[in-house]
Amino acid sequence: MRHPSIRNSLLVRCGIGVGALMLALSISIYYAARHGLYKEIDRSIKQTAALLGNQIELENNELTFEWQEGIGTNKQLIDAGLFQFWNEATGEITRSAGLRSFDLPKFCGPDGSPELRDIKLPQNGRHARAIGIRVYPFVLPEEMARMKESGQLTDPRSLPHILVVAQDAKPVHYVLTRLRWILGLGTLTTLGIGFFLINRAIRHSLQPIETLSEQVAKREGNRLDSALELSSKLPSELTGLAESFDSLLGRVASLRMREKDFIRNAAHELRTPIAGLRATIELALNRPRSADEYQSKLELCHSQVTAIGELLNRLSALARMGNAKHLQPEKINLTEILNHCLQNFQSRFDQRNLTVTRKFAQTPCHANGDGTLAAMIIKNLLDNAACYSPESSQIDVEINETNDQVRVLIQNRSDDLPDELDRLFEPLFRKDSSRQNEGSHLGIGLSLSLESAHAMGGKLLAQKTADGLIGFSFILPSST
Amino acid sequence: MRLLLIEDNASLRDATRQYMHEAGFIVDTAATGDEGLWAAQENPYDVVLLDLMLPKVDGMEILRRLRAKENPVHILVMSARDGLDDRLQALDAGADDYLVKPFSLSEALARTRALLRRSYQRKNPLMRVADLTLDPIRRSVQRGDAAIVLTALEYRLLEYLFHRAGEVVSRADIWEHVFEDGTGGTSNSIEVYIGYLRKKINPGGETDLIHTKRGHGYILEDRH
Repeated sequence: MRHPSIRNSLLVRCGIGVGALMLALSISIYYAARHGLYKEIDRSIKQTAALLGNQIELENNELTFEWQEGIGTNKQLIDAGLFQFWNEATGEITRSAGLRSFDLPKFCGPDGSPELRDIKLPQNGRHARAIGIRVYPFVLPEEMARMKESGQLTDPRSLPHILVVAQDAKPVHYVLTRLRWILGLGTLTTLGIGFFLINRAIRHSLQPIETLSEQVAKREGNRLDSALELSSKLPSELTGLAESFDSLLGRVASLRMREKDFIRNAAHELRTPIAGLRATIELALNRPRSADEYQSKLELCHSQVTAIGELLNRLSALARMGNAKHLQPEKINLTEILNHCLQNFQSRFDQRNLTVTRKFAQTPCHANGDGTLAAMIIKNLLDNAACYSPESSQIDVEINETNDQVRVLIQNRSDDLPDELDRLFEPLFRKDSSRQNEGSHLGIGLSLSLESAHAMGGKLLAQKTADGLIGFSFILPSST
Repeated sequence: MRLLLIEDNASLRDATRQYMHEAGFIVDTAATGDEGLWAAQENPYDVVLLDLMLPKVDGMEILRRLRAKENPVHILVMSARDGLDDRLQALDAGADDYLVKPFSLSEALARTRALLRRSYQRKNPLMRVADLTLDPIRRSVQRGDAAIVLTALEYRLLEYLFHRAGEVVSRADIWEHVFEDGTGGTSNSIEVYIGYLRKKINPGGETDLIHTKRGHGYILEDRH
């Protein structure tokens, strides 16, 4: 699967942004320059058009073009000008001398209003600027009076002319053409340089990500979970990500370490019983023995294999419990289960002169759970208390029910508690290398109990007090 | 030769004890660290076979305490810990050898014998004084070409004298290293067994190699 690239995305977005900006800027510059350059020409042809419009007169009922007389201060302007009249009433055309026999395009704005256009001059095809306007003959007041007297009143609006005045705009057009090229090339060059600079900036910005990525990718197999080497130049935007990643790696490292501990401890736990088994077999085979001796050795081997099998069963039970999805809880009487377990352990308590104080009434406390698992957890807690309590000490057992849960508390004195009580629930965890009790204490009872409590939707918690007591609370949801 | 076996696993402890005993050693056992430490401090053992993970006092602590008191006993550590660090730690703490569980009892026996040779500064496993030879591996004794049959106790006594050949061995040392507790021996037993040995190793009136040093003990040497 191809994943979107941050670099390409940034390049495209930045390119579009810069391109649009440059285009808008170029267009603005072009039209501002064009407007500025054409403004003078437009002003000039407007003036010429105004002058010429005033020089069509109605005199003795005939039209006269005063500019043809070449009088006045505008002679030079008119002699060099390019303009043309169309008498819309008769179709007669009048041209300036500069046009010779060529015609300018005939146009004007809506309703005869002035309109400016870019045109090409007919005689040489050069670019020019032109204004088209509808004009009417000018009637002097005395001529008007005369027409009224003679009774031959002519309305000037019945004699419309179209006047088109043009001016060669080749220099301006040349400048604007050059300007278009300059702006176009400038835009393309800016885009190219911008692409290069933006690409470098993006590459530079993404460098820390690539460095982190390389660090992770090139990590050796045995250092997969070691912390990242964070540079002091790492951008603040990435610091949080890197720290979170480091924190994740730390947790993974911790889990890996615990798994390693578990495997090492499991192997360790198996080594000693296997050593005993091997030694017993080797001893039996070392020399010919009597049938009774062989019988004795075989019985010993059997008990050792049974112990190894028990250890393996608990280990696999622990693994299975880790995968348990759901248990169907049923209503169980925890008081009854607790009493039954206490009865079973009485001889163990007596052996070590331990006093059990039952701090609970014999009323049934019903919980939702699995009876077998609950009994297993309670037995395990009692077994620990029987083993780790100092001789002739006291074990307190409580059971109480609140609105939504039932809690069994087993509390005893212990002289050797780890600083972190949670570690007691780690499989095969030992506080130190001393083995406290051979046989039943395989180091997985509490792990198994914790998993079992969770599988029933309950909890198993450990607390210690300042005066050296440790209490285990086994909590299940109440069924009432 | 007296061994102390400190091991909390009952089956391993019993099997090792019996195997070593059948190999001619007197074996005392301890199931907990504190018992083992007390026994090692109070008795002159030739070799201590020591597990590391023990109840109450762990094996490393026993090693440290014995060495801190300049106890010269040779210690063979037998542990389930197989890491290099564990082995280095134990050897640096004063162990003389290290055996990883599960091990072969025959290997444990061979290593124990090697430690014994080291104890008495010997390299050749075959021990000889004049034409009297003792093979600890085969547990056999010969005078010249003639094989000599000894009881277990006689063999232990002779082996101990061999280990300390050329030096005076006190009665107390013989008592500690050769006689088992609770076997009903008396103060006269040492003389009795020395007498038995002399008869067996000098069957044809050969030169006596066991000499009595009055008031001190016995010495095995060739004075010719």
